[in-house]
This record gives sequence, C-alpha cells and structure tokens, in this order.
Amino acid sequence: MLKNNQNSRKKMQVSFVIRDAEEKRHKRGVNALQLDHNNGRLFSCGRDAIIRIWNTNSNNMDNSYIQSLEHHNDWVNDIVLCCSGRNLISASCDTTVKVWNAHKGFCMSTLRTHRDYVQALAYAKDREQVASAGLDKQIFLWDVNTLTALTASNNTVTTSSLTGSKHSIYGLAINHSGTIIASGSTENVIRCWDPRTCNRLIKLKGHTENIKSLVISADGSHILSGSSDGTIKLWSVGQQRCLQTIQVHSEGVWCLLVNENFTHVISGSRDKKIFMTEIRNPYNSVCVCEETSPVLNMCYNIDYTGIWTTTWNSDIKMWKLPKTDKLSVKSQENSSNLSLNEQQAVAPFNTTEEKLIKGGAAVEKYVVLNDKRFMVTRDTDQNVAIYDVLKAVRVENLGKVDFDEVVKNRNKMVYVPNWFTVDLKTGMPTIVLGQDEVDCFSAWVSATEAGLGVGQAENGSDPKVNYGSLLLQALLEYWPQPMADIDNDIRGNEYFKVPKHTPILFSEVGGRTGCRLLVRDAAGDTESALLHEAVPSWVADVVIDRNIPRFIKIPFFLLPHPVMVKQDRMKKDRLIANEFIQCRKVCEHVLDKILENPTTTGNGTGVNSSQNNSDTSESSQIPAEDKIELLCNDVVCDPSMDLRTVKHFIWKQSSDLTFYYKTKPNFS
Amino acid sequence: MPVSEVSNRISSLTDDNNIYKQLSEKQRNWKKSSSFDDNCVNNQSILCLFNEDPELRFFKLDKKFRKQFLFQQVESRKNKENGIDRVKKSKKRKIKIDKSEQSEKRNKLEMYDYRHNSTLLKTTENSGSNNDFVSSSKNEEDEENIINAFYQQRYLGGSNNSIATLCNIGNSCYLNSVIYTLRFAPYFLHKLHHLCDDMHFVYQKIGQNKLKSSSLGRNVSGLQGQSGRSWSSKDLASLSGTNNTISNSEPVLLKNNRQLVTEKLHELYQNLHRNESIDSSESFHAGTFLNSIQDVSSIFEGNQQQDAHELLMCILDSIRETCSTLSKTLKDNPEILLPQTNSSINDTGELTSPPNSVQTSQSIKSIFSRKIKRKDTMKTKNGSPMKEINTSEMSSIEESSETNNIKSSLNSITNEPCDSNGVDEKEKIDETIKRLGLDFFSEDFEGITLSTTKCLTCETVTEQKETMIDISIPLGNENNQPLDPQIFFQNSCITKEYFRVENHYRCDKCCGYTEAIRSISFEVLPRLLVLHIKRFSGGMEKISSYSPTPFILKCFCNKCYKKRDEDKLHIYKLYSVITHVGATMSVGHYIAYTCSLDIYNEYVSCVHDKRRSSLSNGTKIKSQHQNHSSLANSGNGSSGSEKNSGLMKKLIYGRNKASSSGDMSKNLKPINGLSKIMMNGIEKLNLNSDKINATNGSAQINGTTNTNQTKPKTVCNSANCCGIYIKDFANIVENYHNNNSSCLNNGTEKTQANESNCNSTDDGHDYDSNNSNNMTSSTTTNTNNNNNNSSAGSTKPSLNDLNQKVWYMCDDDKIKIMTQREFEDALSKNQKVMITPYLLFYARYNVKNLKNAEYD
Repeated sequence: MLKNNQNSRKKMQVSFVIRDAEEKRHKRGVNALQLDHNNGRLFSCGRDAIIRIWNTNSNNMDNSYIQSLEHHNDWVNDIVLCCSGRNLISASCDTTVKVWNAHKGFCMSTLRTHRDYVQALAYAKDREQVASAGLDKQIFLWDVNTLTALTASNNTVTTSSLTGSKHSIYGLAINHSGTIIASGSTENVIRCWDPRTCNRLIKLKGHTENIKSLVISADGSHILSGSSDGTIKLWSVGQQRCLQTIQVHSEGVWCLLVNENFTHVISGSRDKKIFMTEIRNPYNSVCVCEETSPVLNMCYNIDYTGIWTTTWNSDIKMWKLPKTDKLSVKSQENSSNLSLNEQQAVAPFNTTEEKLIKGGAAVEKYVVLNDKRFMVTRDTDQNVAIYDVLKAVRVENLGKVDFDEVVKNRNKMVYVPNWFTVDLKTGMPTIVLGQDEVDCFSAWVSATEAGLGVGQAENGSDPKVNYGSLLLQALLEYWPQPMADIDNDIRGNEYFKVPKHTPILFSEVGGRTGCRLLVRDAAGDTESALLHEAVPSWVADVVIDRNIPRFIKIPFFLLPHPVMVKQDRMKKDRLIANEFIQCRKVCEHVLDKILENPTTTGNGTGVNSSQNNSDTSESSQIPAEDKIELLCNDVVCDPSMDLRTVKHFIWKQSSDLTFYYKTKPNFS
Repeated sequence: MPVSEVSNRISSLTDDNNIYKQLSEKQRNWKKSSSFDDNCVNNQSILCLFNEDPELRFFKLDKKFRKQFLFQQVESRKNKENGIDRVKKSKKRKIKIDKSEQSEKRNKLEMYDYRHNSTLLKTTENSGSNNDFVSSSKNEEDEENIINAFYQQRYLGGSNNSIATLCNIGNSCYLNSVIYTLRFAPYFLHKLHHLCDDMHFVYQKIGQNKLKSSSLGRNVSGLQGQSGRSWSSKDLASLSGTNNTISNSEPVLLKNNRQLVTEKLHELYQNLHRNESIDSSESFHAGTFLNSIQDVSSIFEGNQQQDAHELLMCILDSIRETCSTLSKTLKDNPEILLPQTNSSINDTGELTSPPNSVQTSQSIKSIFSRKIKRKDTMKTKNGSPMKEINTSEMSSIEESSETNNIKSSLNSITNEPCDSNGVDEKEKIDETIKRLGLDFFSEDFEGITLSTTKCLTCETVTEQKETMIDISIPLGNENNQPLDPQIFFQNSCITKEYFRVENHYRCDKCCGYTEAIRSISFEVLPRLLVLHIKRFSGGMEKISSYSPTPFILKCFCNKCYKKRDEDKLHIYKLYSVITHVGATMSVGHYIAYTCSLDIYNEYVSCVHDKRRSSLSNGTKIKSQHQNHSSLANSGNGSSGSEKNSGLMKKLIYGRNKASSSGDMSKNLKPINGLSKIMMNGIEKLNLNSDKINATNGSAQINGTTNTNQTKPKTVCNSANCCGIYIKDFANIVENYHNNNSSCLNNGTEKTQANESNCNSTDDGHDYDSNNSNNMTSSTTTNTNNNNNNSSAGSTKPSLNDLNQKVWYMCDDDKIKIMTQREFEDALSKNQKVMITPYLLFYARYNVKNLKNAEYD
C-alpha cells in the first residue's frame, strides 16, 4: 500500500459511517458494471462507495449477492476487470485508484496520483494496460501486472501520464491493442494520444457539450462518442472528422456499448432510454427499453444477448437485446415514412426486464434534533428512521410516516452546540468530526440527561460528558497503545461502545482520504501503525492521553432586578461560568455571594457563603431556586435549564447574557 | 439634438405675423452660449440659402409673407453686428465643426429634401388608393407652406437653442455629467416629470380624502399643504427613514429623502429648461440637488471628487424608490385610481365629467384605454394598449415584447371581467398602474439576469433570476480583446463560469460536490441600458486601456442573442457617454457626451397629459382628448401603427377634404398652440381612419364616429416644464416627425447603417427604426416607396446627412458640439490622447423585421 504523506499542516477530520455490518444492496445509483464472462460474476460499483459482486447465472437474482468490496470512501466511478477477471481496478471520487483481487475480494493497492475525482478508466486488453483520468485533467497509464505485483515493501510504481488536456475529463476509451486512447472533456473536444509513445495525436471537434462516453474500434480507426448534447458521433481517426451523427436521444448520452463487428451501438441516456442503432444507417434504430431513471452505465451479459443496465436508482436490470439483423427488419416494419421521433414513440423492444438485482434505499434527508444526539432521516423509499449519532447506530425505523411531524415531536427544548456534520453523499449517513468549523468537543452534556450510565457518578453530582470525546474514544477502542501498561490501559469510554463494523476514515478536510479501517480492525498491526500516522493530534489527545477537552465558558451579567430595592448603584457583575451549569447554580450563587452580603441585604440567615460550600449549606436548607428567581429577557428561567440553553432560546442575542435576580415572595 | 432642431413656433401659417413675431423675437434674443457656433453656422447657411440657392423657387411662401420674411432677415443681419463679431471670435476658439462644409451639405440637403418632398407630395397625391385624401391644389400649397416654414425655421439664424449648462460646484463634474446624460435619455425627463407630478397629485388627493374623512377627528390639512414638496429637509430629518406607507390611521404622508432626490432632480431640470427658455447663458448651480443626494447617501458629502457611476446608482435608486412609493401609495389608496362601484359609469365607458377624483380616475382610464370597440368595453380593464403608448418596450416581463395592438387589445378584451365587481381590486390597481405607466422604473432601467447553473454530473439545471440596473464590463488585456466591439461587449456580459477544483459546486441532486457550469444571460435588458466599464477596480488606480464604444449595439437579451442579425428584435443606440479623464479616480474629470436621439415624439399626445387636461377641462376637451388618444394611438402607437403613420404623413401633405381645409380656424381652439391645419388633418384622418382600417382589416384605430370632430394633437405639458427647451414644441414635433417619416420613405432598404444615422426614426413611441419598412406596409404608402425608389438614388446620402447626429460634449459649463463622425474619431484607438469611456448609455429600439407580418 502506498504510504500516505503526513500532512501535518492540513486540517484532518475523522468520519465514520453509520450502517449495518453488511449492506447487501446498493444505495444510490450504480456507476459502472463489469461482467466476468468466465464465471458470470457481475461487478457493480456504486455511489455508496462499495463494489459488489453478484452471481448472475441463475434466473432468480434474489440471492445473487456474493460479496462487497469496501474500501473507497466516496463514489466509485468506474471499474475495469483485468487479467481475465482476476483483478479489478476501480476509480473513485476519493481521488484514489484501487487495485483489487477480484476472486478473493480484497484491496491490494491504492494509487494516489490523482488530485481530484477520478472519473473514468480505460482498459487495453491486449497489453494489460489501464488508463485513469479525472477532473484534475490528468491521464495516467498503468501497467496492470506491475500494479498487481505491488506489495507493502515494493510499493512504488512508475506511471506515465498523458498531457495536454486543459479541461476536466469525463470520458476515456482505449482500443484493445492500446494504440490509441481518447478522452472526452468539458472542452467538448475529443483528444487522442498514442499511449505507447504518449504523443498527442488528434483533436476531434464537433460536439457542443461535455463528452461522457467513448468507444474505440478494435483497430483504432473509428471512435464513437456520446455527448451531453444528446448526439452520438462516429469519427474517423484517419480522416480526423466526424462521419456520422446519430440523434436518437433527447438528453445527454451517458454510456455506449458497441457490438463486436462495430456495426451497432447501444446507447443509454439521461432521457432514461436505451437505443440500439445501426451506426452506418441511423434510421435503423430501436428502443431497447425505457428505464425508470437516467441510465448511467451498461454492460453485456454473459452471452451477449442482453445488457445489464444501471441508473440513478440502485437497481441493476438485465434486458434482452433485439437481434441486429432483426433490427433493420423491425425498422422496416415501422414504416420508413416515420420520422425518427415517431419511431421512438413506438413501444420499446422490452417492456420489462429479464433479471433484476434489487437495490436498497438511500438516506436522502436528515434533521439533527436539538439534543444533537439523535437524527431523524428519510430515505428514498420514504421510510423515516431515527439514528443515534453518539452510538453510531440506527435505533428505530418508523416506516412511512410524516417526516416533519416526527421532527417536531421529538425535538426538545434544549440547546447543545453543534459538534458534528452529516454527509449523505454515499446514501448512508457519514458523521464527520473535526476541529474546523464545527468543534467536535463543544458538546458538553450532563451524563444524566444523556441517559448515559449514572452508576458511576457520585450521588448528587452530575458529571458532564463530552460527546465528541466519548465518541472518538469509542471508535478507537481497539487501537492498542504501545506505551500503555496494563493498569492504565483504558480504552474506549466507560459508557458505551460503537458497532465494530463501523468504518472510520481519517482524511484531510475537503481533501483526500488518508486511512480507512473498521473499528474492529484497529487492533491489527498494520492498521495500528497506520493509525499512528494518520490520527491527528487532537484525536490522540483525547484518545490516548485521555485529556479532557476544555470546558466552554460563557460570560454573563448578574444584576438585581429593578424591583429589588436598596441598590444604590448598579454594579454590573460580570461573571463567567461553564456554559452547562444550570440556573439553579446561579441562584445559589446569588444567594450565597450576593444576598448574604451583610451590607446589602442584611437578612442575616447567617450562612457563610463560599461557592464550594454551597452544596452543604443548601442541602440543609431550602434550595436556592425556591428563594431566588432568575429572569432573563423578562422570562423566568427554569432552574434546571443550563446557561447555554438560556442564551440560545431566551436571550437570543450575541451580547453577553444578562440575568436579573429577585427574591421570591416567600423568602423572608 | 440634431442641429436642425427648430425652435420657432409654427402657428398656422395663415396666421398673420405670428411667425414673424417669433422670428424677430428670436433675432432679438441672441444667445451667447457655446452653441453659438451652431447658430453661426445656421446663420451662414441661411444666408447662403437665401442668397445663392437657386432652388429658392421651391420656397413657396406666400409672396407677402416671403417679402416680410426676407425683410426680417436683412434686418436681423443688420442688427447683428454683434453676431458677426461673435462669429469671428468664435473662430478663434477651437471649433470642432467645419462650418462651411456643414453648411454646404445643408444646402444640398435642403434641396434634396425639397425635391423629395415635393415628389412625395406628388406621388402620394397620385396614389389614388384613398380617394379621400386627394388634395386640392390649395391644400397642397398649404402643406408645402408648412414644410417650407419648417425648413426655414430649422435653419434660421439663432434658431437653435443653447443648451443649459451646469456649473462646477466643487469637483462636481461627476454630478454634472450624470445630469446631462439623464437629460438626454430618451423619455426620461418626460417620465420623471410625470412621476413627480403624479406623486404630488396623489398626495394631494390623499390629503383631500383624509380631510374629507376627518370624521376621524384628525386635522390633516396643515400637514398636506398646497404643495407636497414644500417639506424642508429639516422636517424630514426627524422623519427620515420612515416608510411612506399610508394607512388609514396615519394622517401624515411622509416623504423620505429619496423622494426628495427625485423631486429635486425634477426641479433641476425645470431650472435648466427655464434657463434655456429665457436664453440665459448662466450655468446653473446644482447645489440643491446635490444636497438632496447628500441626504440620501453621505458618501457624497463634501466637495470631493466622486464616482459618477455611484452617483448614477444613487439617483436611479431614488427614482426607483419613488416609483415604488407611488405604486404602493396608489395601492394603499385605491380610491384614487379606481372608481367606486356605484359611480356612474356609462356602458360605453365613455367619459363623464368626474365629480371627484375617483371618477376622474375612471375617466382617465377610459381615456387612455385603446379599445377596439368602445361600446363593448367596460370600465376599467383595458390592459396593455396603454402601456404601449407610454413605453417603448411594451412588456411587463410577462408580455411578449411584440404584442401589437390587435393582440393586446384582444387580450385585454379576454381579460376583462364582465362585471367589475367580481374583480380583485388589487389586480385592478396593478393593472391600472401598469397601464398608465406609473411605475416606469423597472421597464426603463431594470433588466433581469438569468443565471443558469448546470451540474456536470447529474446535469440538472437550476435557474435563478435577478434584477440588474447596469452591466459591469471588466477590462482585461487589451490584446485579448476581440476586434468587434459587439463581440467584446457580448462576451463581457454573457459569461460562463466553471465551478471546479477548489470551487466545487454543491449539487443537491447528487448530495455532494461536483463540477458545474454557470452561465449568465439576460432575459430582459432594460430600455435604458447602462454599461459600466470597470476602470476602477480595487484601489484608485485607473485602467486606461482602450475600450470600444459602438454607437449601435445589437441586443443580446435571450430572445435576440441567438437570432441572426436580421431577426433580432431590439437594437440599442448610444445616446450618451460619460468619459473619465485622468489617472486616478480622485484626480480626474468627467465629461459627458450626449446626443438627443429623439426628444419629440415622447411629448406628443402623452397619456398623462391627457389626464391632466381632462382633469382640468371639461367634457368637451375630454372627448377631444379621447379622440386624441385614439389618434395618438393610431398615430403614435406601437406595432401596427405604421399604417397610421402613413396616414399621418398623408395628413401632412394635405389629404384634407376641401370642405374643412379651407377654413383653418373654424371649430377649433388651438390647444397648446397647435397648427390648425394639423387639427384639420387629424380630424380628417379620424373620419377616414375607420375606412382605412376597415379596408386594411385592422382594428386598431377606434371608431370615433360618436365623438367630437375636433381632435388636436396635444403636447404634454412636461415639455414646457422640464424638457429640453424647444419653442413651439408641438409643431416642431409634428413637422419634424413627419418630415422624418417622409425622409425615411426614401430608402427602401433600411440597412443598419442607415438606421444608425437616422434620427428619430421612430414612429410614435415605438422607436421603430425600420420605419420605412413599416410604412411600406400600409397599402397607401407602398406606392410611395415604389415611386420614391425611382427617384431614390440620390436621396440616400441626403437621408444620412440630414439626420446626422450631433453630439454635445458637456464639460461642466461648457458645451461643445461635434458631429457623430468627429466623436467617433475622438473615441478611436488611434488618438494621441485616448478618451477613456467610463459609462455608456444605450436606449433600446424595437426592430421591425420586414419579413414579419405587420398585422400580427
């Protein structure tokens, strides 16, 4: 595995995914497919960052799931199956290209040469060469055999890159023999290179929008391109011009398949339709099927009689292809007088799919409740669920109920600062902890309120817990500390544990991923070594050194209410206290410090006050909150409310909180 | 303003001595101003004209008159020893005009014009398609008299007004340049006048109403006062910032500072107008206005050099506020505009003499509404046609800019409720406001930018619209600038931006960061377009690179952008440039270069004016005005008015029936001193208009058979209040307009070049730059064109020359005249001392495509 450079200056963040141990179904769309024709295994990579392997041999796809390849942290945009199905190369939005052992299903190497999303891969079968390209405008050529030979010790690989692209690359294709490689970009131009020499060859202009799909004929003489302008163009490499424009789609063409003879092209588009068109005679075109959402990618099935298709939905379907000779016959049946549009209006060849690999639902909406612990989510199936972020689990699945109602009902009038952010890009909630904009250590909560074990607390005391700190400790529970002795080997937190299968990611803020591992794997040697490098200092501080994050204090003014008399001049007492202390503590303070002052009130209860003794003095008498009333913005504050809640809900201003106290009528 | 602007009054030529009185007055009041040069030129040219021009025989004045005229000329020459001296003096100054050359041209022009006009007369006479308009010889002579008189006055000595100037009150060149510019903005003065007028009127009405409803026990009279304007800034200081919402519980109508700015601006223009009318050479001190600006924005306090663009924005902002306040006030007090439901309104929606303001408003609307069938129309809603009169760009955003009479009228009919009771009052008010053009700011100055963002991954497109007032043009590397100014500006305005790399776009559909393309285009461009060349980006350093200044800018709104040139719907003509001289913003000087694109038509048969007169006058005049409106609609309306212009033209050239033309002064009282011939002509026009319309199948001109016969063309009072001063405005307008119309008939092919050189190539309020094509649309003028073609060969150059624009270089209190060519040269890149334009001002004109059917 290639080492990650220690980016000490870049801000790091820790994130984890709340999910089941095994997610057998794709969430969100599936970006690419590869079929191993030898054994009928279908590899699909999705926007949930997981590559799944399916067995497509049977007719019933319900139990087709074989395995998940999970290592990426962001959308996996493309995969290629190399070495006769032994190896799988994947490209992802997390800027990495990974090499996998397809049979066994584990990640062998990670290539980190790209600096931005890697959008496309191209595979030259004859030369076992793979090219990767992405939004960083770079194209890298890889030799697969070299890649697969990488080990931990022998971990460097040389790569050549193709230069010249000035725009983000969205499409890539290479012919079997690896003599010509073509890229499509937002420049609306197809650029071609010779991968053997890395020389620039030609530029093909004609499209008016981004080019996302490319196919090169086996001999490298012709290129088919599908563009976001809705057209498919056939180019002659030798003549450097466009030979044919096929306009069967109304929206961008996102994927292309060509038959072996390069006579027919199958195109999938944002308009949800898949067409099979004779290249030289575009009027011979039939709609293979109409999908439910924009078509992302396709691949042939095992005997080339059908295609597997993927869309924005997470389903993978297999459709039967019309025979190519029947294609023209069929078109002739539709009277040739029909215009192309009218032909398209004719019913598609397939009305239902042959096979279906069902996908799952992705979380599409979330609301974090005020207690900043629970989160209400809704997924694409309209199911509402409750997640406990602190414990990294889903606690409840409420079914198809009204999302807003649930949020309203479950929201309590309590204020806890934000300490995490949520990312739904993979369709599963990814919780991000950082020190950047949102301080993960800002949530100090009373343990009792959090419902976390009160057993250990002393009677009467109310320990405060820091959510972020607890969570980090729980996540890294299995991480062995080299310097720890047995006695002091406190791992995890004393309150709860997180699921062991939870994947943790250490990455740069807004940047590339450093390290990914599952909670339970932190014990492994390689992993723990990795962790030592990847874990940022503020995490280590809490997890290893067990330091308590600092308290957050807020300043406030405590003034006697104008109703109270005998104050000659208003001395503005500016006090500072931990934000989570409750109002009753302030009452106590008032009682002890201020009203007990003989010069002011002389009520002479005779109680000596010092803050520390307040407990004992009060415990024997009437609680302070019964004697003193605190008002803020003319609202009486509930004694059990803490200061930050008061400030957030009642005070609502940015200036310092101001309390007015007054004695309750029954106070003598 | 074209040099040939004539300031003398053309009363009826049959009126004795009027013209001479005018002339001698004019001669007497010799102006000493920087436009003197022009006067000299005119003088000289006239001298040439009278003395040397062999074509004098076309000058068909009555002999008696001519003699007197010549006598006057000689006299004036004698009286003007001073004048001649001044000629010499002025020669010492730098004069940018080649006088002799220009005068020569003018001579030729006149000859051509006369020839042309006379041929036109003949051809139109011979067209015979409308027998009604066959002229008697006497009428023809009368018509020619008018024309000739017009030309006389055009080139008479001293006929040109000097333009009022503003003095520098302490680094106030930024202020002066903006004031000059706005003064020449087409329609701006006019609308500003009405805005202030309306505000005043509304406030008065509200005050009155409040007085009436003083059962509330509040004494409000003191607060209203006679003139709502008489609030001092002190009064307002304590009240500033308060909104002018008028609720029934608030007796006081407050004016905020922005309203004051608008009023002070109006007063400023009034003062300038007055200066011009009294031929004062003093430059006006704009201190009061500056103070009002300073009350609004403290940036302008003190006497430092300021940014002209900022001031412009401040002024426009104040006007916008005032407009919206007016609208809001009207909405809050609907009784001003809308009638009570139980008011007596007859079925025809005809005018009744309004007992109170409420009914007045009703009658106002009925006056204004251009109804297809008067009898059918109900009270209030007669939507769009009114707007078409008032504003060149007819649409509110929703309407297509090409709605013509028929369509809009049809719309208005279909939109009309059967029963006014069922209509939402608010809708009514909005409708009325729109119709009366009371809220002109958004059409005139506001455009809408459309920001289209497309995620490159999921390719979903999101749109966002925003209003804009001006477009900032960044100045980059000079070498990278495309050579074509049109492309340069278009590229600067219509931009594309990629979201990528560090600047990823958050796509909601993808739930993550992706790349995206955002393109900004313009759904609607304002009628008065302001281009701000960003020369002061960041610090006070000035970017002095060259920026092109095209005099014609093809419209690049979304509708026009994709079309080929000939299909474009709008075109923008430059009417002002504010340039900045100097190295930095704080040490620099602003100079405004303005020209008057078309100042005449906007004042003729103004909608608001009719309301005024209808309010003050009785039923008779109202009905007259009603017919005026119909005439105005027919004559000055928008699309489809081409036929009317043809008719108008005919009336100039005397299609009067013998019966009424013989006695010019019968039945009519001149209103605003209009030509009686004109009246008669118009009268005839109306009578025959029905027929014409019937034959042409258009239903544009209202049947006015049940109305009074006298329908003079009115000139809005605002022309005499704050407009650019022109004596005898109405007639000048009339003649000039018609002459221009006739001129335009010369060229059958209206190339862009021709259009650019044509002044006032408008038909009414439509800024129809393709007039001739439109004219050809009317059946009666087709033959004209054909005939003209035969003689047209020589007319084209004259057309250009005749309408050559003249630009005024307004440098504080000095105003110099340059021809457009000189100005172009000065702006070109090759100059030693390069002029750096800072703000460009364009006015939009609709282009009528010859291919489009005129009657759609």
